[in-house]
Amino acid sequence: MQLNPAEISDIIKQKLEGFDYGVEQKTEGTIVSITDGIVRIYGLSEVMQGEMLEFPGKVYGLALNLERDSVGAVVLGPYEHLSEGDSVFCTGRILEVPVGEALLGRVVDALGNPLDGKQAIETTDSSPIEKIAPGVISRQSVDQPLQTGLKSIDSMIPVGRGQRELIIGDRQTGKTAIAIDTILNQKGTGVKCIYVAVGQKQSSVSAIVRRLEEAGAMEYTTIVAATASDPAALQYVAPYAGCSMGEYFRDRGEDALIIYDDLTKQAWAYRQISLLLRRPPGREAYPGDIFYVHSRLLERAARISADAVEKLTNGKVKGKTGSLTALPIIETQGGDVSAFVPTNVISITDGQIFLETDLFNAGIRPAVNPGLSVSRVGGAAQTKVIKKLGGGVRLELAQFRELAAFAQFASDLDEGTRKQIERGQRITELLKQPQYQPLTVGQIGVALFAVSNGYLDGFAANKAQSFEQALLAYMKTEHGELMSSIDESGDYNDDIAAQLKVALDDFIAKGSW
Amino acid sequence: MSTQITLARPYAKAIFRQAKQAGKVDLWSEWLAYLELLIGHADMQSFIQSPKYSKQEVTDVLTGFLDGQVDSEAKNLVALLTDNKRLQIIPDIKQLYDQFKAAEEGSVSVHVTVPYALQDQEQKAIESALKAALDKSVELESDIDPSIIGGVIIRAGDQVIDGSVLGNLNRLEKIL
Repeated sequence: MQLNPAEISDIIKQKLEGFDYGVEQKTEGTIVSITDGIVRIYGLSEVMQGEMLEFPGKVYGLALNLERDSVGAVVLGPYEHLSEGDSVFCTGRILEVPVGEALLGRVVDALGNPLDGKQAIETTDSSPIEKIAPGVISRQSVDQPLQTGLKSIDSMIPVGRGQRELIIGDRQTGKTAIAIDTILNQKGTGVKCIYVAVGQKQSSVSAIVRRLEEAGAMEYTTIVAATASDPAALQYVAPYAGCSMGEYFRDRGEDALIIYDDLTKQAWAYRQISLLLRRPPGREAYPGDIFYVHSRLLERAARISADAVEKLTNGKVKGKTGSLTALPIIETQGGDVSAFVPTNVISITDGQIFLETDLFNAGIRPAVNPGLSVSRVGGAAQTKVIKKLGGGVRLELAQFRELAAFAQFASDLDEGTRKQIERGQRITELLKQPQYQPLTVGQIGVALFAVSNGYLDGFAANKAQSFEQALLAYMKTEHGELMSSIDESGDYNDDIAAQLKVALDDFIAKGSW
Repeated sequence: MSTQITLARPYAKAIFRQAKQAGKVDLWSEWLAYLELLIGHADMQSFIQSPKYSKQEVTDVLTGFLDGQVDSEAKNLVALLTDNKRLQIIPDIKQLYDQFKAAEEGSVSVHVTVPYALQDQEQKAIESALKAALDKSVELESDIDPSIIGGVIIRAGDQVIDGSVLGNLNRLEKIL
């Protein structure tokens, strides 16, 4: 960005005019000890819990422990230059981050400072990172779908706007891939996305940024990055900061999606801070309030009513509901969902998408385990066409798994069982989907229609994918209008069913694939 | 520092209560100052910390020094602190004791930093202004620091009132 000298002096002049020369009253403290980013401060008698503290060298900290004779704080940034005896001041403010449209398309750190080397973020709005979640009165039930564009998820584990759906699985099972595909699929839907990267490699974060840029998805996305090299305090704070940025849209009657990738690492960061602050350790050495860390964060993802939006915007936005959908990610160790943090987050969220290493290695990607995955509220939000056509998929898959295990021992099977197993194999094949290729509602609908009406039964199971590809290409060229009408309305009725039947019969007859 | 103060608090509280009952608040202040001086001496430090001497010997030597300076209550305190291995917290006890004393008397010690030596008139003006603001009697201490350029920095406890030119310049730097 080029600035001419006259502009610079104008800006400085403005700031100088706004400067209030006078007397400043503040509360002072002295650093008593500093270890691994944790500072003990003597003094600061008027400090508040969670207040921002000012250290020398324009570094800020967060007061976390208020004890009788000292205050325990974490430094949000470099702390190598601090030493015993340095002065610390109260700021009287709770930690705030910039929020607003200006953050879309940007990569920022946990405090909202740009990391992408572009210009300063021009927004006048800021919001405290810790806010109380909307109450019961201002909420509304979840009844609008948030399409992930993934056949297996949209058909079996639908996510609604305002829902909190956990993505859980071991390392390398495609958790982030689901999240990124969901972001890509929000293009043109008006859903703003926030991707919070906690404790990841910087290279992984920049790969995600590049992928989103290439797909044109950065226009409606903010990335909040607290990488593995950042202090634990920033990794702990990042999800809250991202949440505040998402709440900005929710409270203005828009829809937003936030992905916390991942909360396991945030819990580790919080454990580190807590232990250094000498808080008593509990199970797995996590502090006693680790549940509260996640529950107060995820409680802020909500759908709020039009009345609440009107109140929050002082009447500027009328008749629009707002939502913040959260997709937290949890990494398990060896598929152990009964560890401390996974059970906590499972109990907080409205369902989970469970990914399995075995399925992933067997080539079933996304590696969703349909038996263990649930969506507790998404059913009400599912698009009609997918709900009608995909309703049986989950059940059939569950039966297939049971039969497949049983059939391993039996040499000759009766006709019914054999058919069921074959149907299951075809469904499994059809639900496979390559990365970065989210499908529209219509495309998912057609694929489900084909399998549930037995159009695939005449072919080998391993042909299902090429069949689907050819079918979707055919539908796009020959029945574009039908597809776009399904995409738009999401409706399903006898008329549409008849049209789909004609189209598929025609496709099979041509045998063009 | 902070942990020491926590240890010192019950002692300081007890001493202050005892002193108030016996009407020896000022005397105790002097005694504690004497004790602090005594403990702070390098030879005394090495003697106290040496494992060669028993608690009884340390107490005997210390009370020997205190003969004629303090009364039996203060000697008892020394014996108690030796027994509890807490002789090192005497400076913290003294500090807390002074705080309790100041709070009781309704006075507050205020530190003023100025760029040049204050004239009597200016000092009085500051004192009376602070007295009105804090509603307590003020013990003014001042030191001269030309680097603050102009104005004044007032410190009372952990409250800082920064009206210096340097402070304003620092704030200006932050917003630009």
